[in-house]
Amino acid sequence: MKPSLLLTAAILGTAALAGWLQHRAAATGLAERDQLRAEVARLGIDPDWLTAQATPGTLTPWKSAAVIAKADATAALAARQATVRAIAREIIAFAKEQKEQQKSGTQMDAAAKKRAMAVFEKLMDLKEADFAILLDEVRSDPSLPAQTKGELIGMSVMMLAQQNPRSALQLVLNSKDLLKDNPGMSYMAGMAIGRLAETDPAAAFAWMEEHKDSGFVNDMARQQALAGLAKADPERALRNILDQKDSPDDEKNRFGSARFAGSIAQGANRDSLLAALRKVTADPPAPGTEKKVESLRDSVLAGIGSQLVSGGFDTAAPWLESSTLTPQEKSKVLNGVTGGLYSTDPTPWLGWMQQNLPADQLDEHTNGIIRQWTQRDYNAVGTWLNTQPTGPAKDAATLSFAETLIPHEPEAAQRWIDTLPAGEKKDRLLEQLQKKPEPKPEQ
Amino acid sequence: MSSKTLLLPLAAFIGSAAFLTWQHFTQDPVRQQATLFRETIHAVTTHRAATQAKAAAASRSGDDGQAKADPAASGARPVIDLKEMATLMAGMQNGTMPDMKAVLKLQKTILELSSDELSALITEAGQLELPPGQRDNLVMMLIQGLGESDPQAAVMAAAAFMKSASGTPVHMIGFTMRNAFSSWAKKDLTGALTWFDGAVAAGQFESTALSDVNQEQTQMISSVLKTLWVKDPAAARERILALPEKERTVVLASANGFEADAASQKEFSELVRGVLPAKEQAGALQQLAQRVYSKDSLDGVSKFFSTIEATPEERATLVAGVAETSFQQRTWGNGAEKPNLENTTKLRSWLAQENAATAETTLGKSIASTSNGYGNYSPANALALVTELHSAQPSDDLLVSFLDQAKPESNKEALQALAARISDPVARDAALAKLAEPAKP
Repeated sequence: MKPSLLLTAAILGTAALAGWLQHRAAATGLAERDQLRAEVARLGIDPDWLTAQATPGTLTPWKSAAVIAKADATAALAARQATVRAIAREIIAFAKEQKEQQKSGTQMDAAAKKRAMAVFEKLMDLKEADFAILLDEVRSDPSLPAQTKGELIGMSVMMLAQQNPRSALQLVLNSKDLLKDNPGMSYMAGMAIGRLAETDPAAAFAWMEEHKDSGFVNDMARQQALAGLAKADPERALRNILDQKDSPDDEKNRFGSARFAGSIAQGANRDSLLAALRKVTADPPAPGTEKKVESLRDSVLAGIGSQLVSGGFDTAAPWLESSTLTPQEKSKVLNGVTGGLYSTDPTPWLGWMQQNLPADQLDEHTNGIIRQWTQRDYNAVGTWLNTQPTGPAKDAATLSFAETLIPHEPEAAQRWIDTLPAGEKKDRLLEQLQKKPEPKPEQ
Repeated sequence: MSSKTLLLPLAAFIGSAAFLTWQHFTQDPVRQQATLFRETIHAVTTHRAATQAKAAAASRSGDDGQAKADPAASGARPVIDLKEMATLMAGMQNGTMPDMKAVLKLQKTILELSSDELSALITEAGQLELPPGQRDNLVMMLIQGLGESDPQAAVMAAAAFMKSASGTPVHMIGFTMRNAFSSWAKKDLTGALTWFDGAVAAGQFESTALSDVNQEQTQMISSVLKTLWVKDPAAARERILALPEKERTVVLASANGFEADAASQKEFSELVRGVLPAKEQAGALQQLAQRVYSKDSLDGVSKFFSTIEATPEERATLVAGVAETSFQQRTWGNGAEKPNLENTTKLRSWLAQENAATAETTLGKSIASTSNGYGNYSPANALALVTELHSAQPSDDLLVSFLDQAKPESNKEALQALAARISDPVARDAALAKLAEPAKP
């Protein structure tokens, strides 16, 4: 018996020793595995994801490429976030500097402007995902005044709206506490809405409806939205304007939108807007809406007229001549032209009107132009009149000119009145000259 | 030993072997993971080292190439396409979202150009075949850029353009010119004024407008008045006295910088009282009062009245102007709350403190005129606010002055209801009668 017990004890003892050594080795192996696991995580790879990719066995070359790609992406993201945080801090530091400068009343010198542009450039290079980091840095800086925070976020909204207007609008909502007193916020929100309306009008209007009480959806924002919508779907934009509920406060802004839409429509957009206007106003208006429809038509056409002026006579004239405008439409467009000529040389327009408008419409459009031109540069008007052929058109222009001259230059007015043929209108002017009213206060 | 005695050792051996084998194989996953992790770490670190080495090598050779390829790096000036610039600026004018990157690039380019380069560009831009508005805006932007580094050259360029431009240049060119002139005067007042006097004599600022006031000329003087005043008050006074009376008022009303501190405010008021007839003085002081308000709020204006020892008549005029400005600015936002009962009540209290006799009338007028303007403060908002104000502190003057200015086509019934709350029967009937009149075209 004894020998077997001794042998058993020896075997068990040896096994116990081996087991203990193996256990120690296992503990070491576990520790090493955990270290390696942490290192893998530090490289930007999720260890659980890795073991799921590569079990059973070790890393094959194909899976190695996938792992490397993932590590690179994680590292790139971390690097990008670090870069954006640094940019955010630079922008914030610059904003603080500017506030101090404003307080001291000093102007920005050229070097400061260059720095400002460098900062703006970095802001503009930010991608959509970066703005969350910028916002985080801005919000978490306790030394930044709330107003400055709002201004920085407002700028971010503008930048982001160019890339993704939906995200920009979300940023607006997320930052409402800081933006509510920013004077330009409605304008920026409006631009983002307008941008969205260009590609997804339904979403733009749904956003405005959902957030109409947010404080950002004011008339300016609606105007921007309608302008954006008018580019994408002019008929819908015009129907939207017509369908809005009546309110005296809304009216001036609603047709401001229509005029605005007309004023930015160029080229093919203009033709589409015109076609849409005709379609929308073609049906007999519902009782009580005649004035609204007429206002819509007038506003859009006037807007088109003002845009024709800013685009230059050389491009406007061919369009006017080739377009299918009815005489009434043309007249309304020319009303907009008159309004747009306040600081532009009107002579080509006057010449065009004299050649293309019937006599009974000529005075209606040229009188206003002559009057405002006279206020601005009466010598030039006189010079122009001297080049005009004798006739009713020249007489009508002379009448407007002389009437405008009377309060300021009565002697010159007298000389021009003397060139007019005898008649009621000449007599009326002579009577005015006798009375010589005080000039109207300057605008 | 017999086989019986070997049974126990054999069992122990088998059991031990099984246990050790089991123990070994439970560690397999750990070893496999460790191996996997080790291989991954090796693969990623090797890859990164190789990438970094490549990038470093590329960067070294890239720097040489960059200097050759990139005009900016090599010191060559960027090519300026003026027509492209004009088109970009035209896009900015149409009210839709501008291409911010392009705008910034444009501004950077302008800042990098030398004074001579900009002057040459301005001349070139002035001759471009463009719609006048586009041409003028382009020239204005270039002049603004030139004014940053060389205001004297900017003034010269603007003056030359205004002389040679076909058609009447936009008035903003004049604004840009004045800014540059002001900057020039701060650097070299004598030089700037010598040029100005010569330009006036040569007819540069001859006005073709039907007006008793030469706006361009007066605004130019305004832009440097503070600078001149600081250096030589007697010369400043003499220059103003040399102007026709109406132009003196315009010059003084437009001059800024005097709101900076109490001493400047006092000096300005003495200047105004010294060169203007009594009936024009309040008008000239009005703009200063509004600038003081913008800078220092209502309390600042109260101090301003004390500083300049405002007469009761001046105070009445100035208070009305400041009230209107204050109310209007709230409707713009500007970092302040929109008008509400609380902040308007503060304004109301201030008005009562500064000029009790006309406080309520002034308030009613300010609210009405703001809502009649082109801003975004609606007549409905104005009506609601006046109703609240009256409920808080009944005032016939408030209602009468508001109703007198409010446009009846906006919500006539509500205005009539408000008019019905006027306690004085004569005033009430007059207000209601006015509201009953047909709307004027």
